Amino acid sequence: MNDIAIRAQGLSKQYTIGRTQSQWGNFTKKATFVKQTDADIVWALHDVSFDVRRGEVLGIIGRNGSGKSTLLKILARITKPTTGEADVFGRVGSLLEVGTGFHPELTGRENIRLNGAMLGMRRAEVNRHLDAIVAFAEIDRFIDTPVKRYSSGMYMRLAFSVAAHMQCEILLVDEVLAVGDAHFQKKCLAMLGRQQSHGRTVLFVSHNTGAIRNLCQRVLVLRSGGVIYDGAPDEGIGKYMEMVGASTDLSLKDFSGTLMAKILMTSLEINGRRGFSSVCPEENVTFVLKGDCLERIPKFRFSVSVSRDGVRLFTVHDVKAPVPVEKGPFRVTISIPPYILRPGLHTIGIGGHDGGVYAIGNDWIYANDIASLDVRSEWSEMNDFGGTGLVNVPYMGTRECT
Amino acid sequence: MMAQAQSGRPTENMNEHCGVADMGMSETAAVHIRPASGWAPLNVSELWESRELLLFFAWRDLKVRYKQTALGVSWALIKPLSLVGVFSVVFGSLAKIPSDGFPYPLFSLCALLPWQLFSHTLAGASQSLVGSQNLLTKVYFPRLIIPLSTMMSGVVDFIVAAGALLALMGYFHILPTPYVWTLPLFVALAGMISLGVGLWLSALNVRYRDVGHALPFLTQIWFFATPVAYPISLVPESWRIWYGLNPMASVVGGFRWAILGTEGIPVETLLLSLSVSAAVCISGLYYFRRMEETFADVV
Repeated sequence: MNDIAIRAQGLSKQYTIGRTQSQWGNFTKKATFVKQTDADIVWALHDVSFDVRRGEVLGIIGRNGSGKSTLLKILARITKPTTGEADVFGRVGSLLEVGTGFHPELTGRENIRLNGAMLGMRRAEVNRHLDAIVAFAEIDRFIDTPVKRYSSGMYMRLAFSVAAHMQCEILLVDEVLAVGDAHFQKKCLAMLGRQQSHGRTVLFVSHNTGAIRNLCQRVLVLRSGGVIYDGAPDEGIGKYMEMVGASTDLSLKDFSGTLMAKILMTSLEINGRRGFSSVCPEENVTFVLKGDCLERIPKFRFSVSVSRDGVRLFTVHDVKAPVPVEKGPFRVTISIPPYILRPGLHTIGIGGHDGGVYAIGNDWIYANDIASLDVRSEWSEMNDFGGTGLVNVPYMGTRECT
Repeated sequence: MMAQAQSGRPTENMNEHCGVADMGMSETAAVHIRPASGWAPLNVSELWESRELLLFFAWRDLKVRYKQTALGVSWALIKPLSLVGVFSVVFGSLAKIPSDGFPYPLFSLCALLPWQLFSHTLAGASQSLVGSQNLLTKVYFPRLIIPLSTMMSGVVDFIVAAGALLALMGYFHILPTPYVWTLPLFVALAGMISLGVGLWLSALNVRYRDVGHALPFLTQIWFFATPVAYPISLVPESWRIWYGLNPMASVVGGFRWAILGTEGIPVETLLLSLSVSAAVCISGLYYFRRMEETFADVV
């Protein structure tokens, strides 16, 4: 049996943009044999080739406009490639947008049936899964209410639930997890994670590098319509982060606070790299922050904050009690020991303030998202193996057998 | 490496009842994706596979059409009957247009039934694809289903309105002719030309929104070119053969002939209408199939 689920060869998609928006202009152009110039043409996808094995979970990452969605649309047969071809072995379910085809006037139950049919499910199949769909969406009481009366959260949960219960061998998922509350996002991710154990092939487009890392065995990184990396998630996410964090110029970052006019941050290096760095769990993480102090500040502490998935994990300072910063260049070094951070992507904020206690009238400066820090998933006895968590506590207990 | 990556996966019990565990894998279907190739053959088996969806769409159209209306499905009666009222006053009583010896209301309703099927299909089909933009760009299914389903919901309105005709016949004490069994054939002819023109308009409208502007008066011109409000007997003998070019003229003539027993349509005229309808229908199908591949990009 063939163990390839998708084979794409040289897929390209061209879009015409700009002056052809007017159909009449288009018509006259054709009529007068004016040739289209290259400026009117955009390659949303350019010569993309890859194979996906059966049961593989492939993550697709890239910046906006890099061709991720176009690629999924071609594989879902919504649009045709301009050149190239692809073979898709197995029934394809696509989840390109949550709630496509829901009609506001119809009830939840009716929309489940309609949506199921649209996704290619048989009536019997939908009926068989109806209870599971309703339960997963957590809308039992509203099942016979028109969906126009639903809250947007209920609407989305129902839509995701229908698509997730579709019986297909290949599932195409496009950034649907950006919607819904944290609880439901988690549930959806867990659901996607289980697909693979049922032998389903999943193509998963997301900006959520954490989800990609957890779900996928392989990632494609797209840039301007081309594949720039195809391989292990850790390295692929690294490539992506380098691309996204290309601007390492701190003067472009959004600092706020009362000391903005006095302190000029110029660079932040993490273990010698700017913008994006990747470290092993057993490494020290050293932040080196450089800048200029434009006017003497009598009391100040520099700080580095580490956040993950929008949650601040901790903040570390350069000095215990505030001390003066003299006018002129400064260099601050802050280190955190190994085995504190867990594998995953962290965002780094930098700043500082004048005292130990926060109060109105404090002087401070801060900016978030200055750099990204990726901790690779390399394990040792110092890490907790199972489960998840935000931080790693590298301490052990004792045991006595009595 | 792989095992390590997997162990980072959330392992909490998400207390859900989803049924992904019992995935029955169907036989593997291979799909080959190619660049748009221009003329594509009609994929009948795929259409047949999607028949449930077709019914669903038609059902949704019907259900939604009369949702939150006070009069509900009786609109399907009110629309033709009010037209009959207006026609009877304006054309029947004021303009004194002859009606081949039958009560004018009955005479005009006979023609209005198929005409409304036709005009509703045109209006519905031409807007159908553009109105389903969100589907065209997000889900794959045979696009033909969209205009087809608007026609199906038109047929339901047609059947309801046929009840009004029966009532009117009872009121005027008129029995149908023995040829009334031929009616489905004329309905089929009306369906064929409606579908053909509807397919052309729906696909054209995706690229050229001019269709929306042109359709109302196109329908109006077509209405006057069809003997709905007047009898074909008013038309000079030598012109009548040209009426065969308009299949709706034959449909309307056929309806009156089968129900009321007016003068029949000549076989040559009928054949002409039939070939015109077939030509429009087949070319419409092919044009639709040709444009189908670019719908998602241009809509």
